[in-house]
Amino acid sequence: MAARDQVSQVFHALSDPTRRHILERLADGPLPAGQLARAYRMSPAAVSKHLKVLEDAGLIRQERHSQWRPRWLDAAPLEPAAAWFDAYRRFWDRSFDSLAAHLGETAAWQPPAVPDTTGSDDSEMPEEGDRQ
Amino acid sequence: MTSDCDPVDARSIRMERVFAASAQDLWSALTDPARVALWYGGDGFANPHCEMDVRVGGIWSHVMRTPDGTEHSLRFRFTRVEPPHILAWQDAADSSGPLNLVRLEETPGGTLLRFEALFPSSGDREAAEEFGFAFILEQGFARMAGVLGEPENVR
Repeated sequence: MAARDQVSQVFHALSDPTRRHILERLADGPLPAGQLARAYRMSPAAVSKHLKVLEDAGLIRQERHSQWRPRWLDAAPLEPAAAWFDAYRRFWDRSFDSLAAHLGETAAWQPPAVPDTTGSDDSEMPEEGDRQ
Repeated sequence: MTSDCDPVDARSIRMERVFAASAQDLWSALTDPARVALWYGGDGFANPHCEMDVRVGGIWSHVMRTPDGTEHSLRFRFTRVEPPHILAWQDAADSSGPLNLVRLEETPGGTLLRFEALFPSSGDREAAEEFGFAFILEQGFARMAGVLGEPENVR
């Protein structure tokens, strides 16, 4: 449950272009809120709200001990979200494999395989459809 | 920083496949329930039920059985139907779930299939409108939790 809620929060946090931009900037290193806010044509309070959403999602943290209290990116919460996407991608990857097989195509999207010169005699291989 | 996930692209999936089949044949394989049941989910998956009302607003009702024998009821709504080039659908009950879009493009050797799944948001107005999902912009992410983390329970 908690993991699912966090994935949901992460997607919500990522749903806003300003918040995504803030994350991109923090990916290069920690920044204090004031410096983050200067890049945007919005009030410091509005930027604070965005930072709060990112903080709630666990995507950014604040260094409390340093005098300039920089925010820094914590990418860990992105992992469950990425895992969900990865599962979805694999689902469709498998499905498209089967779709290709259904259409009588074997791995049409892949570069041609290097011929096997070691001579494996796989007698189970189905006949190619090479009717004249 | 260690991240294998680009924050900007974290909400969308894009895949491309080239098939030797014609766009018309691919379209049929994607929209004829009898054929969809043969490939949906991939190896080891079975699809004991598949019904499709292939028109904008039409329902795709589906039961998928995973390799471990668990059955999952899926219910999608088609949002774009432009044969044989564009097919889009989304979970019928959860408008904050991913928007799925398939585009088919004829190429010299066959057909290029481009698949895209995108989580909608207010920041994606253009993309969402392109999908034909302007209405979902009114919806929040409240119901997304029902999909995320538990894709097998999508109804």
